[in-house]
Amino acid sequence: MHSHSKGAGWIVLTVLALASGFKSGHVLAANGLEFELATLSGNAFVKISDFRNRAVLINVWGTECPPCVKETPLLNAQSKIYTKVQFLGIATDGRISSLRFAGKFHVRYPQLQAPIHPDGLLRRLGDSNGALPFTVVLDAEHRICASRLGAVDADWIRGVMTACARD
Amino acid sequence: MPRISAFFLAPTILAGLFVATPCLSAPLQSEVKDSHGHPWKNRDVRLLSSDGTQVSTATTDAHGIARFQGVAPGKYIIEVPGTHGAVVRKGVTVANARNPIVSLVTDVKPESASAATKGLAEVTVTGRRETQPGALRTDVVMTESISAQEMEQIGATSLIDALTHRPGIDIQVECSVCNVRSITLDNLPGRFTTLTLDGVPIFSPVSNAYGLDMLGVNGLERIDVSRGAATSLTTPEALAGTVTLVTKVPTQDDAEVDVDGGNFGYRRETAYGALVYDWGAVSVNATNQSHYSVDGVGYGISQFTGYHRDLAGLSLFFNDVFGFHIKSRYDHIEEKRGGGPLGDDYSAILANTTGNPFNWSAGPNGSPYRNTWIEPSTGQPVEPPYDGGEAGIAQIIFTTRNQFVETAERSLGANTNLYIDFGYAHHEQASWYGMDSDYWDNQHQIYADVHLQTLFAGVLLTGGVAYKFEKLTSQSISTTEGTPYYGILRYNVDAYTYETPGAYVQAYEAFFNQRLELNASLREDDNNTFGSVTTPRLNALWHHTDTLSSRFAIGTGYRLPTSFFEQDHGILSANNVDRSEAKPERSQNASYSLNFANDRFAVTSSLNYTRIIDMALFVNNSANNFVLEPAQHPFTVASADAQGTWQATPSNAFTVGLEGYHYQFYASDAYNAALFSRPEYRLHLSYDYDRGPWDYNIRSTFTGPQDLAKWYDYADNPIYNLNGTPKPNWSPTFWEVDTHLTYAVTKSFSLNAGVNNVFNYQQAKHDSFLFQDPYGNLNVTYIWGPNIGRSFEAGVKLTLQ
Repeated sequence: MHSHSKGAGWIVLTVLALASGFKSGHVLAANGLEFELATLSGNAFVKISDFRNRAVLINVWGTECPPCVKETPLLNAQSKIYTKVQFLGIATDGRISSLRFAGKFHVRYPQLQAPIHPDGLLRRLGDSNGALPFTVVLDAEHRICASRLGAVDADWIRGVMTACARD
Repeated sequence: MPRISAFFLAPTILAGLFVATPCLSAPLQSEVKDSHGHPWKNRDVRLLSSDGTQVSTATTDAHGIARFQGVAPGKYIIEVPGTHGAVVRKGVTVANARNPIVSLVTDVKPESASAATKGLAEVTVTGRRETQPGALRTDVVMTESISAQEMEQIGATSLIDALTHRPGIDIQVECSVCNVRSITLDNLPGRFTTLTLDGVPIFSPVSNAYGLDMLGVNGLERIDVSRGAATSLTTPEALAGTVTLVTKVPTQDDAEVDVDGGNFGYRRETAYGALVYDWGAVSVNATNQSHYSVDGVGYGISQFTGYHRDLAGLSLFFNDVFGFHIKSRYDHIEEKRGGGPLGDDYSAILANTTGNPFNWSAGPNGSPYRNTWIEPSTGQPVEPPYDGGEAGIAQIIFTTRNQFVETAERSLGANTNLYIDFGYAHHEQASWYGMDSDYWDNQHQIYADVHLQTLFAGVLLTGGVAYKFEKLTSQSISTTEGTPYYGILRYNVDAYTYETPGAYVQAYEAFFNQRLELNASLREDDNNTFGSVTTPRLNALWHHTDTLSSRFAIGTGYRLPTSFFEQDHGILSANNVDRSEAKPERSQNASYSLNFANDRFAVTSSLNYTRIIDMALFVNNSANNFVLEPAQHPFTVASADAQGTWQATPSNAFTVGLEGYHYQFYASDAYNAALFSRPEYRLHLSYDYDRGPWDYNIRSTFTGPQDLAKWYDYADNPIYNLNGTPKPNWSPTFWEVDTHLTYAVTKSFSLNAGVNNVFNYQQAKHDSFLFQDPYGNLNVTYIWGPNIGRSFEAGVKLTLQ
């Protein structure tokens, strides 16, 4: 029997080191949700903590998701009404096609690029299934106040704005 | 297969507040209904704090109402399991009765329930979670997924382009003249990788031989890769894993035209169009692509096979046909490819049967003579000199393929879905292999699958039956002088007919607040030739945190060995092909992967172990009979790989990947199984720059040494250069670097350019693909490195939406 093992052993060690090296993280930071994502334009990182003392509406979307297509104009219009609330979009598809999508609807609020593996972020936002679209509203302390799986409507937005952004 | 699940079956949560006392404590009432308004009984409803921590649980009564007592004021989330393992959540604020907030977040009153239900019913759950590597709900658990956008960024125009530079995945060229190619997963032989279209396995060893190149990425949503036999329920024959092409479902009217060109006569035009209607959608796609054959060193014999191919496809999507949500696709593919002598005047090449148009003295360790080579056993020039003309070394293959795939899904109530999948493929190949054989085959494949998915007591159960039919007929004429059937038309030398009905069950359940997901399945298939085969598998996914998860998989697969001649052209000239000893090839696979991903850093690492038992060998015995028999010893590959990506700045990302392998096998088995050499390790480095209208990336792979002496069994079958010197025992290491740039001029118009194999590394410049046995017999399947040098391409893309 022939046998060869060059190059494999130390990779095993690397994997095991990775397995033991990562500490369990917290689902949420003590003072509310936090993440840091690049803008779709690639110009800057945006953190939730950049919007201190402001409620934040986060809409996670994809270019090939029909309810995302449906709700985007509404979200865009609502972002102009509820100016005290920071609207953020998180695009889960490729940058160029996402920019094309956002441009088509003339979206005015910031659009961010989801991480390479967005599953973890979606779980942190409360979307453990990773289904789209998913909208989550953070209160001024950036704690999750309300969330919705599926296309939002004006009634729902009005409700959560009153509940989560009343200050 | 991955599912795009309409959320028709999602329950609706109606949450109301009833304040028992006006102070700190309030009973919270949650009403759970399905989309038809029927209450869900005996369902566990969870109350979570806003940070996701479980506060309380309650079970719905006969009216679908769950009550939580003693809930302090605050913001909460109510969660109830839906169908398909989905979970429906709703935010709730519990406050003082006089607090007007009460009626806001929880204001889904009975009169608005229909609106809420409608809202949920319109949710298209894109399966985003199921498209994430490692998700366990589906019948194929993918380990990697490549989106259409990523393919566009790297300039991929074919399945092969899309899969390069990835740990654990590689493209293997298996013939330097005809360029048969295969996808290797975890460095297992390429024929152990199963290809599916929308989850329907209608590709065979026959269609895979030249079919990979024909699979364009135009009109695809993504490519899913599932490494390991334990990842696939619907493709038990995938000993190494499965590659699934997922058709894009149009969501809006769309038109794309892409035109590219490059050196070596490369030209590609693609078009895609989609129209969306109330009843569904229609999409069409077409590709025209061609490339010259390329010789990098001056033999006059190609290392890169020239081709011309046309693809046309029509897809229909129906939202509701007798309750079924249907996705269907038809493709017609035609390809002409030619290797060996350069050029594409195939008639002229086949007619050129005398003389020596080649230079056998070109390249490293070339012959001292232009028209012949040195026979190793004698040290003298082979006599008579080469006189076969262009046809003598030509390999020309014409292929026509028609394929149809349909997947349908229908709700059968609140908890159950019905799936019906069907596929048909007709594949025809006409081929001329110089001084070997002329060969024509005709293959039909049918695949049908019906399965149910239902949620029962919190367990997502899948049960189904499948039927697979595969029939190959052929005609051949041996053109090998001195063999018994030289010049005689023969029928069905490599023919086979396989009929394989099967049945399977699978159970999926999540535990510990969805931290642990388990998926177990059992499949039984009964083949008309090889009898019944049972294939179990188990997958577990543990979410250590929201950013760190582990996946463990263990399972088996089987593959029915075929006598398709591509495994050994010699069978067409043999006295007989004896299949009486053949057995199904089986794999035993175990793998563990660790995945970490936060906002800017992601690492995926895995350990994989696969053992192939009863690997099919083609042994040419002393009576010139080819015997298809199982190997007496297992073929084993153990591997480890890791890949990390760091989003260093908003526009700059770096990726490092590493993979290492440990092989155990008998060299003579590798030789008789027509295996090809694989490296000990590979290193991958990538850089991506994405800012404004610019997208730029570099992808590189460093390939470690390959034990050529063992893979090609030098001990029993020594091979030599054309100057009579022995081939090296180990291959050298080398880099392959590809780079691609895209500039979006407007939202609709973009330019792109790329350079592949930037450092122009070609095997033929270091070690010829051509080799001979000790007696001067020539062969062309000695391959360890790139078969084409630096290439340039550029193009434009127009997108209208």
